[in-house]
Amino acid sequence: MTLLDEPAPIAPEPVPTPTVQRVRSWKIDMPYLTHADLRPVKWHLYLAFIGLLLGVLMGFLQAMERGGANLYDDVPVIETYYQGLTLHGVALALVFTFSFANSFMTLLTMRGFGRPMASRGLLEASLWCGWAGTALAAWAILANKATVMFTFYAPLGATPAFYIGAVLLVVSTWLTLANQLLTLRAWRRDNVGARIPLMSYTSIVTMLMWFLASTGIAVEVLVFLLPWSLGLRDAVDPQFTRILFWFSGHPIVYFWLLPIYVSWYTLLPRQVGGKIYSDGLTRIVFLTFLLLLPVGVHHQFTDPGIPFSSKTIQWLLTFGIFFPSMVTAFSVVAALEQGGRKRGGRGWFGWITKLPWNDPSVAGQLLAGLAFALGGASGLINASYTVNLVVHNTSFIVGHFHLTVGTAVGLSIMAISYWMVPYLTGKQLFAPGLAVAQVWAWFIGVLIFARGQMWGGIDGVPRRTQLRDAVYYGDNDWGTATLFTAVGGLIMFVGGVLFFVVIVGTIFNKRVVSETQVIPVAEIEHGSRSTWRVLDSLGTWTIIAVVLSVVVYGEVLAHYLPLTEVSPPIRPW
Amino acid sequence: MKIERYERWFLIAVAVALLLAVAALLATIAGEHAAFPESSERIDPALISSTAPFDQPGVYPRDDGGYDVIMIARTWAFEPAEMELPVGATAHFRIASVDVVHGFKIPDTNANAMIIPGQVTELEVTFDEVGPHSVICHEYCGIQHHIMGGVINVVGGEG
Repeated sequence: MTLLDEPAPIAPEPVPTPTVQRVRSWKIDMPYLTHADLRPVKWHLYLAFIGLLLGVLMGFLQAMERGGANLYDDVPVIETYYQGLTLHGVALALVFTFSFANSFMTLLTMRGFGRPMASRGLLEASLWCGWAGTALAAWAILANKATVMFTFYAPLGATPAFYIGAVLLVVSTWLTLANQLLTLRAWRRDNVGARIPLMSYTSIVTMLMWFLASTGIAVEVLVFLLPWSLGLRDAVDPQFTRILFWFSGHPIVYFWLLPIYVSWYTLLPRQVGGKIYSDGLTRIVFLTFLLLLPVGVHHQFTDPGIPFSSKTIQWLLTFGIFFPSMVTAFSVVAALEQGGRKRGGRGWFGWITKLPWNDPSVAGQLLAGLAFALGGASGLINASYTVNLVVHNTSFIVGHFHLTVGTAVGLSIMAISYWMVPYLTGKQLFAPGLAVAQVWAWFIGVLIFARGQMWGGIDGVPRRTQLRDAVYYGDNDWGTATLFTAVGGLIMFVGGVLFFVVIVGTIFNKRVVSETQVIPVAEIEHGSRSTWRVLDSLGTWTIIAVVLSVVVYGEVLAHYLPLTEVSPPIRPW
Repeated sequence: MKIERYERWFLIAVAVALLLAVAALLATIAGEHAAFPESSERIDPALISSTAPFDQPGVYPRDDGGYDVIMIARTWAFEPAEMELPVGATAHFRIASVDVVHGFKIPDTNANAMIIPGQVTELEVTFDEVGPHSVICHEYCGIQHHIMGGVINVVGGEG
């Protein structure tokens, strides 16, 4: 039984053979780039690694707390569980993911268009915004002036530097989009009537989606929280700032995920010897995320100030997201199957074992995809309205998002780094065997960890809580679930440490690469010649997305306004 | 645009599964009276302790056999923190926060709500199991968030 071994009905579009460029001591497949074009890409990636390192270290302290060993009195700088947890969330959910997106989407935009970014100034500006924003937010948290979690719900009031840092991190992503759009315009001038290359298209839609989505957080911080923290505004409406937060706070998960989708769709097939399944469906999947922005209220089913009508409308829209996820499941698995069969795989499942599992970049992304299947299913549970009453704000949610952003995204970023760091530094990957062990350690760890968190959550374990000291801990039967969380978390920590051994070993590796470094660009089975042209009209789709968001959130605001601005900033930490 | 035969059938199956899930959830909303927390009024957190009914938190019997529970959430306690209700009783909670955002969760029931300054959180909970039930603040509310809890003792023998 083979599904996909038929010859392609439409001839695949040839991928142009790369000519070689020498970047200092090593060669890459983009002859049009110089070191100055690649340097910001590399330093955005290093900033992502710093975010990951901080997050992994805090994760260790949290896992130990679940195991019964409270280390916060023994470690320097981090005074409390909640201060560490805030650093964990900000470093991973904002710094790690945003910086990787800035780095990876810039690199692939250049590769897709076959030209450097239009503006070196914007490249540098984005880089500086990212580093400065991280420095400000990190200082605020480490000085214990912003123990507000990465969601910073008012009336918890952080020091102004925290909000300015968050703004700069978001601005760094806007500057990347601006640069992509300038590059698109320049490319269109030179390629009149041509289809936007798929890799550049998906990279641009990712950043465009997040730009539209981030307007909620931008208004929340710039109009309300920052002036409020500076004393220019006496009080804010905590329900309203939550509505603004979650307008961005749901699509932020698309922003974490879509750079990984770009890799799964346009690169991973090449890495396993398969082809991208369908150009058109890939574009449609990315556009669906652009259109389905206004679903944030499904994070607020239990909020008192939002009416039943808004919750119902956005619940139904949320279910729409399942559709592109299932298209992705089919398309990516089809590409993998094609690769596995070309490598000699037979039967229903034999192709899986023939995939190049000894390549850490492939193994990590395959395991990340498996975790995403579990994470996606649990996401459907979270979104399921009445079922949400069981799991909302419990550790079930924590289990869910460590499978999705923590592993589908986080482990994929680590796996992509295994080809990207050699590409950007000209150094050979250090200890590839250890890198394979690393991705397995993370994967096994997260399965145990998520099992514990989800089990506990269904039994009522709250999230964001110093659990072993909770007054109600002994009254509930949570011991086994908590043990799973602790053990799984510690195994993930081992996986995290191994990642830094491999990456630091690579950056400082004395052995340089001898062959040309190549981005694994996949060919397309059903190419853009059979794809609707209208999918490339990004301006039109942007207008439709904005109108849809205005209509759906207009319904929320029509019920909600006027504001109840009653809360001054409070610092209960 | 070309869509493979297998993929077309797969997508149709996904769409059907989603519609069935929506139908099942609609049935639970209509049939089980799954009550989402709502707010019929707004309140200034600074005035809560001098505004009825929150000036006198506690448990009050209703004419319909249920109970009104008037509750205040503050860093880091519920008031009242302990209460007793008969098994099978429906409690009509009205909860307001005097400071930051708090949470309200009772394991093994449908009780799950946010308590947001400026809003009055209203929800109905029916207690079917005898014994102590933890009341848990499940939103981070400051450095002692984990000591914010209460107990509802559900006692048997009524009706």
